Amino acid sequence: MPLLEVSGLSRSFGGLRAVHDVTFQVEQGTVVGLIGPNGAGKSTLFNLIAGALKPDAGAVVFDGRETTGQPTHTIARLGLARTFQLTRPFLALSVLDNVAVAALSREASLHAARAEARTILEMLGLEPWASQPAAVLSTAGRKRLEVARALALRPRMLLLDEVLAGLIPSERQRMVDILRRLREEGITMLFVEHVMSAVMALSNRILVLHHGELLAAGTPDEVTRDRRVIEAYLGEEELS
Amino acid sequence: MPARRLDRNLVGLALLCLVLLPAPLFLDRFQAGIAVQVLLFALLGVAWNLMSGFAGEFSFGHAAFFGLGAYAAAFLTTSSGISPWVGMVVGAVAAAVLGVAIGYLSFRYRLKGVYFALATFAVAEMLRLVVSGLDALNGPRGITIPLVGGGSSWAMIQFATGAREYFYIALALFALTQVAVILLIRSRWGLLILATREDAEGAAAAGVDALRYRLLAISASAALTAVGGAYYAVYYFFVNPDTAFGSAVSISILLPAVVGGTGSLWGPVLGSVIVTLLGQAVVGATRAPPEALAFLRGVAGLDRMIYGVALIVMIMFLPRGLVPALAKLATLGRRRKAREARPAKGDYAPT
Repeated sequence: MPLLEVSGLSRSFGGLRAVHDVTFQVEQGTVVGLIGPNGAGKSTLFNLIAGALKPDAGAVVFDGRETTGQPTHTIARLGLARTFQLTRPFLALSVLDNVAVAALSREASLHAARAEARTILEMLGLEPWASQPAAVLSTAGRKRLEVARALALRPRMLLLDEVLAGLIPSERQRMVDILRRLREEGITMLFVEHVMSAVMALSNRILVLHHGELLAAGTPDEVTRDRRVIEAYLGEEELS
Repeated sequence: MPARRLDRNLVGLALLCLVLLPAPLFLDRFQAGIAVQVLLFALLGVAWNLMSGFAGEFSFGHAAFFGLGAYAAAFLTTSSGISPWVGMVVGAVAAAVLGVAIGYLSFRYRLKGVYFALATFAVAEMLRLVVSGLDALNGPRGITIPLVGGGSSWAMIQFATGAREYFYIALALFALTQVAVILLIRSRWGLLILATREDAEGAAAAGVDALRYRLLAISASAALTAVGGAYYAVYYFFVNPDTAFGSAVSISILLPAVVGGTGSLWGPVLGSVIVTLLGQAVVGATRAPPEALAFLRGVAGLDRMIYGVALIVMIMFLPRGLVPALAKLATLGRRRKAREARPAKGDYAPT
């Protein structure tokens, strides 16, 4: 049984079909990359799966339970954790407490939640900022904080929305290393990304979204050879 | 980690109470009245701050909660001789229920920021008009609490004018309110309230039921404000729709926190001292102005104008309030000292 099943998911804004009849599955322990041009509906699809938006039609089943239309916090607590493309830190709270907030969904005491948060900060290299307000973090730091907060939910699956965007190459490499380690730990991931090298390196499967519809799905090799994908997104030069 | 460090805010509060215990011995009747006012508005400011500073839901209508407490105490005492302590609790429960209703409906209909503040204002105004029209509550004339039991009764909270009991009850109620807010803010619930204020969507993604913590903050704030309202009614032996639910009441409640610093535990306390003393000073100065300004004597409303200008200046220069500004100053000072203490390049401090 797949960990995440999306079937016939649709959502319009006014006359615009942002996501139309999208169906796919994500198997336990796999990493799936979601690519597509700007405006293809990737973030809308994420918001639909994570419960931030309600779909017009279709269903989302996570871990055998239907989560369609459930509130975000319920879905997060079921073990489906997301990050935001535009980071949403709790600016006035310390970096440690930012993560502790999420850890509190599983830990009964503040003390235990902070201890848990500290180990996650160490893993992501954010430990030096632990007691500073999140407002002092750079973009790269905030991206990592998003991942840290999602991990504090001890998720079975991560939804990562462009965690590499806006990072300089050295920071990018560091984030890719983090994602690789999470993959080795067996965390299932669905991630939106424009950085193709990272998508190719990390994904078991790739989904291509175009005009709100699923254009193609398959292994990285299959997708990069697909004519429609090349025309719609990758461009000719990627082939050579 | 050691078992559990005693919160320094609680230690500070205990010390403050200890220092204030002998105060009534040194205060005359007039000063004792001011002290009670400082304590009452410190309580109200701390309560308002829980909802508007820590939970970030700016209330412009806390008179709604204050009035419920005041009327519950006054009405139950007058109509059935029930102790105002009971009225205080009844008022607090009613205010908490009203708070939950306001919080839920504003969440449901996505009222935020200015619109939320206006909604709270509207609720208070609505209650003022409803109570003005209720004959059972004596309409616009309000309720005068009669003297019972010889005028010195803990059960009825009635003592001689200026009696030190009033001071001690106000001190105790303020201290309990402050303890409640400190414990709440330092708890796991407090952290989740702050996270919800900082970013409700981010908090939801972190598994936080934002509505629940918002309602918790609003209802606790409402209940504590009603306690202050009940005390107000018994202290002045009188309450009417304007002094209970009027917009001037809402402003008086939010002023200490805005001046002292929203979202800080001690800001509203310092703010209450400043606002109350400033008000008294201005009234005193305009009533008996110095020789050179003798022509100002008797100008109606002058004290209000000066008071208003002083507050505007204060808020212009310290928009975040006094306590956060002082805290920032302290951090800057510490940093400077640390920079000076740091050895110059090439120096090696002996270990």
